[in-house]
Amino acid sequence: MDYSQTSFWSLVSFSETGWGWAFVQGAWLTVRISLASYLLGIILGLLGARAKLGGNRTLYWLAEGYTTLIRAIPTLLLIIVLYYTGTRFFDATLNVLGLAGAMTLNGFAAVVFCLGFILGAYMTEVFRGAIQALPPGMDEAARSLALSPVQRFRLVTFPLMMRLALPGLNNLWQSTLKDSSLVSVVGFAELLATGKMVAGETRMYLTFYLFVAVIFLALTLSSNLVFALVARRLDRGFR
Amino acid sequence: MSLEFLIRILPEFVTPLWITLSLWLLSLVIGMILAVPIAIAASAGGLVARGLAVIFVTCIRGTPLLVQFYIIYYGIGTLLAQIRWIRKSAIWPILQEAYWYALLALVISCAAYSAEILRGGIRAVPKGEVEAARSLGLHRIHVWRLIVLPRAVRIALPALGGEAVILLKSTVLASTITVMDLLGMANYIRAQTFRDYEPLLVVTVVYVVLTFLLSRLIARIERQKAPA
Repeated sequence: MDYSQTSFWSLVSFSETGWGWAFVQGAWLTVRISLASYLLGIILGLLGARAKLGGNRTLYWLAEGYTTLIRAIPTLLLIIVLYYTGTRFFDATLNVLGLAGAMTLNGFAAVVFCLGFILGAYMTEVFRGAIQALPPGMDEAARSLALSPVQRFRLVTFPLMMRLALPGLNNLWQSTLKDSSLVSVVGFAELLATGKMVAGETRMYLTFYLFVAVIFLALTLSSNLVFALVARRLDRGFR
Repeated sequence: MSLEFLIRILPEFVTPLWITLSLWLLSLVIGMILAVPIAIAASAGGLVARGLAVIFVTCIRGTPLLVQFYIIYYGIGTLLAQIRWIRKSAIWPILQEAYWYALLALVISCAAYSAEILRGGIRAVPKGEVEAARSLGLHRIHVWRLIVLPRAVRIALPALGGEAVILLKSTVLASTITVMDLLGMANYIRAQTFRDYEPLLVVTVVYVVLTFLLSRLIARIERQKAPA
């Protein structure tokens, strides 16, 4: 079909011939992948920081190896490696259990696992830095009040540390949002993959890749605002 | 995983290694040079210059590098191919090489991120030093060249070093626009032989070694140039 005479706005409209819904779905998927991997990254990051600062030597070196290695390898390469070895490993495990073909790995889960696992290494460093920057008196005060370790973390370390970790967390959210586009390379239909499909169909490459860029820009700029609001709330009592 | 196969494919990665390294070094040098005027414009330019610099930096930092690669290679590349006199000109063979599009994308990215870092460095230069330089009767240009920029670069050095490492890792994206860099060669071997682990392992190890060496180098430069 020849689209050269069709206007851009009718191509991205929500009518039957427009790709409006495809882009909304792609963007929504990008946001969902990013949120899910961000959550997984935060959990892994808290565990990693705990392992690095907890005093157990084995756990320390495990966490150290994890962060050093992951942060030394390009994200795109890691996604390819983790995605292919991960899905193969999953199939092989099923084979061993005699359940070959009984389950297929959900694409969303596989992608979130890859991105979250990578993000966890960067998160570990952010949380470690923030916890170490807390004055030791805070933890001592909590101890002297006879709070349990869980209470100390939940009531003292975590809320105080989050304020210091926030700039790093904002940076990582921005890069998660942007790095989520890399999963289009392993064939996952998020925003950039949608743009690629439409660009190929209409042969309007520049237009649609720019359109994808504008949507990403809107996402990063608006989430910057959210982080600014959270920062203002966490900063209360410190100014 | 077969060690024999791994050793057999190793020589194939020599040329791609040079492609990756040259992409990195060229984009680093050109990008950092371009970052200086952008950072100056963003922190001291008039309304228009400042606005343009800030918009440029925001747009580049706010969108995925992979999308920028696609805009430049597929978007601008196909646009150029439609213009007849360019297709007939002597530079057309160069414009068909994906390498130059990858280089352009990396240069733009490096310039934007480094400009943002430098802007922070410029802001952190103590005001008194600038005033002292002015009171000595130095010209505006001299104040920038002799006082502000050297101080700003030193203050920003750790962050600029981090940017150099990030840029090295970003070079893998060149493989997505058909450049035969390290990952491009690995993907080519994977497609030809249906073996995934060996070629991907080679690229991974090369990147780990390169980032390790680069971090060591940066740490050394920082120790020598650290602000007193």
